[in-house]
Formats: sequence, C-alpha cells, structure tokens
Amino acid sequence: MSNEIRMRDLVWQSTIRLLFSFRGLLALLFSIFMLVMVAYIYDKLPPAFFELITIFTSDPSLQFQWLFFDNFMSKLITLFVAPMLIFDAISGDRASERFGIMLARPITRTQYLLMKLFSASLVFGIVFLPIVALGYPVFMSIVHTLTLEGYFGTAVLVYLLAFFTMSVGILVSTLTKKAVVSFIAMFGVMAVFMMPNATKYTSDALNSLSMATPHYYATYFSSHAFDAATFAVYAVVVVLFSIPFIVATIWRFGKEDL
Amino acid sequence: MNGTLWVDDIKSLLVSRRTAYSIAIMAVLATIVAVVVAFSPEGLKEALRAAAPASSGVFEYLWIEDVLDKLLIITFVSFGAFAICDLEDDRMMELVVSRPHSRFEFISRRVIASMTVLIIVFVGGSAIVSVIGSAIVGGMDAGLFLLHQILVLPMCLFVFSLTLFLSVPLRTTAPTVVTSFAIALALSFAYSLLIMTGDPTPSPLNPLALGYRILLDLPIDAATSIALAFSGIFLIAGAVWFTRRDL
Repeated sequence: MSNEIRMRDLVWQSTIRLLFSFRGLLALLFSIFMLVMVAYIYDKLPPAFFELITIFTSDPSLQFQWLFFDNFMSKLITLFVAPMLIFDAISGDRASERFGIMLARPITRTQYLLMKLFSASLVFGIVFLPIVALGYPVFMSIVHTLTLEGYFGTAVLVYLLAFFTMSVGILVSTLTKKAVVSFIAMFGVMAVFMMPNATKYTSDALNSLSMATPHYYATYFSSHAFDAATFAVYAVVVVLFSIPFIVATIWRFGKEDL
Repeated sequence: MNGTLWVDDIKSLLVSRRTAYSIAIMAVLATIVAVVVAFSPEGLKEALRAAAPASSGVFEYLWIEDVLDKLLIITFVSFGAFAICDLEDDRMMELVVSRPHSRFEFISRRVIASMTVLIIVFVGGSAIVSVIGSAIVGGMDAGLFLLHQILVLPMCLFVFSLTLFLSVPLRTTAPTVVTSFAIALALSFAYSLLIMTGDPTPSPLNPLALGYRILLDLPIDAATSIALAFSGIFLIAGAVWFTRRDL
C-alpha cells in the first residue's frame, strides 16, 4: 500500500472519529442554533434596526447577508466552532502520550499535521455547509432580496475563513503543552484577527487595517454585490493567509524533540 | 481545611500561564477597543452613549457588550476547569484523592482557591483595562467602570460554576471547556439577538445579560440573585457529585 493511500485513509478515519464525537455534535448544534435564531428574529426586527445597520451595509438587499454571515457566523466560527475542532489536535495527543504511537505509523510528521488539519476542516465542512444550504430556502421565504450566488459565495468564503482559523489553531496547538492553554491562546489570537473587521465601519484607519485580515475578504459580499471574479480572487487570498501558519507549524513540529 | 495546601493552590494558579494569558488577553482587547473608540466618528459615539445611559462611556459599552459577554468568558471557563480537569489531564486525581482528607475537603479547597484567583485576576485585569481605556480614550470615569466590573462578577461566577459542574462528568479539559464555553456563548448570543427585536430588556433569568442590564440602568437585584443562586446550585451539585462519583 502506498503512503498516499495510507494518508487518505488516515484523514478519513480521523474525520469520521471527529464527526461522530461530542465536538462534532456540538458544532452541528451550534450551527443549527444560529440558523434558527437568525430565522426567528429576522421577521421581528424593527425598522429602526435596519436604519441602524445602514452604517454597516448601505445596500438594503445585503442587510441579511451582513447580519447572518458578518455579524454572527464569521465571529462564531472564528472564536468557537473552528477552534473547538482543532485546539488540542497536537497538544491533546502530546498530553495523552499518544504522540509516540501516532508518529510510529509509517507517515511523516508533515503528513501527521496535514491529516489533523484536513480532517478538522472536513468535519467543519460536513457540518456547516449542509446546514447553511438547508437554511437557504428558509431565509428565501423571509428575505426576498437574497441571491443564490451571494449567499453560497459568502458561505464558501466563511468556510475558507474556518480553514484559516484552523491553520492558526494547529500552530498554537503545536506551540502549547496543555489543551486549555491552547484554547485560550488560540481564542486570544483569533480575537485579535477578528477585531479590525468587526470594527472597520467606525473609521477609515480601521477599515484599512481590516484589509490585513482574512475576515475582510471572507465577509466582503455581506456589504458588496457578488461578482464571480472578485469571489475567486478573495477565495485565493483567504487561503493564502493560511499558508504562513501551516509552514510555521511544519517547521516547528519538525524540530520537536519527542 | 489545610491552609497550606490552599495557599499552594492559589500560588500555583496565580503564577500559571492561564493567569498570564487571561490578563494579557484583557490588556490586548482593551487596547483594541480603546483604539476603536478613539477613531470612531462622533455621531457613532453619541448613538452608543445614548444606548447605554448608565455606562462610564462608549469604551465601557463596547467592553461589556462585545468583549466581556462574548470573548472574556473563556477566561472564566479556564479557571472553572482548574479544580478537576487539570488533575484529570495529568492523571493525578487518584493520587491526590488518596491523601488523608475527604473528597469534599479537597474539592472545596480547589474551588475556593480557583475562585479567589479568578476574582483577583478579574478585578486586577479590570483595573489594567480601565487604565488603558482612560489613557487612550480619555474622559472616562474609571471608578464607575471598575464598580460596574465588580457588579458583573456574579456573571463570571456563574460561568465558573457551570464549568466546575460540567467538569465532574466530563473530567478532562477539552470536553469541559468546549461544552461550558458553548453554553455560555449560546446564552450570550441569545440575549444579544433577542434585544435586537425591539425589546431592550433581557430576561433576568439569563446571567450572561447582567452586564447589559447594568449598562442600561435596569434593575439588577433579581438578575444578580438569580446568577448567584445558579452559581451556588452548580457549585454544591458539582461538589456533591464529585464526592460520590466513581473514580
């Protein structure tokens, strides 16, 4: 059996294990919770609220996109759902002394890291994307201005944002020894990444600063009309943000003395 | 209760990375929020001031509504995980409870130690936050800000107690932290979403809305009592469950 097939099998096994774990269930419940809450309140929002959110998105047809993806989903995913799936990927194995057993398998350390990263991002995709897809007909009945490409384009970019979060998370997990420290440290790092985008509406300076974070590109279509070329470019940009963290993780983990 | 062990627990927790990270996160987030307020246009500041008439200013509004209720709950969760999860993770629990003291005495000591450090870190961190806020934003009533932070303490204790309670069945850090954080975050988002619908009064039954009630100058007696009652129930139930569970 070639190494490549073994790697694929390992990713799949790890994905299934995580998907049917307590965390997989929690990620699913949280995605459903946000969907139901937003669907429940959207009809009840007073006109004054829509006047207020013109600060964030001047196009009325994009107000739902802003509320759902920018104001709630991107924050929730960055701060909780994605970190939850990855924070103890390395530090947990290290603490439970499974490290040696895992690395005794015929896989390289890089493959081990990538297995952890890809299985966590696969689990997130399996949980998040179908829930968001199920939400589309529900939201369409409430928000008539919602467009298919804008909704799913933003959903894909938010998925890539989760991948970025996990890239940061695996580096943090490699650098820390305790799971709780990994979670706090990752949370702090992601809060710093998230803040400029969350506050970009308050000034031009913060808007410029937010462009240095992937959150800006991932939530771009919650305040701008969708276009395919920009979507493709921004999808690549969000993935590119992940690369330095993945490279740093591989470099750091390769030097680790077991 | 053995006072030396209690002091040792406090010392080890005070000099831990958990404490350092918690204070560092508070300081970094305070700096970011202060910069945001400093750069915000006057119109937005006036709207936020009007939305939170009892606050010490826009900085406090953003701090409580966006940072404390959503982001800083992770620090309360991490302190709640200290009593049981740390020992379970290190596989030291059996060894520790085999010492010549009752399990109730042991859990009481760990809970009091971690609660003491949580209060020290939260109040100390809040003092640092108020200094950062005053220095960058200016014109902020630091005393009022600190008073409000102390009034929010029952909310912190609720999250702490919930985590301790969950750590009895879940045992290790990873499931305990994610479950407790999920529940606290869900409560926080629930009240944030519901107040958007036009009714600005969150339910006093939601302890995560205590800070928001303070900002709006709503009565906090019932909400504080409920948060403290929930905390007491979780602490006692967790301690009793721990003394009876099979290791």
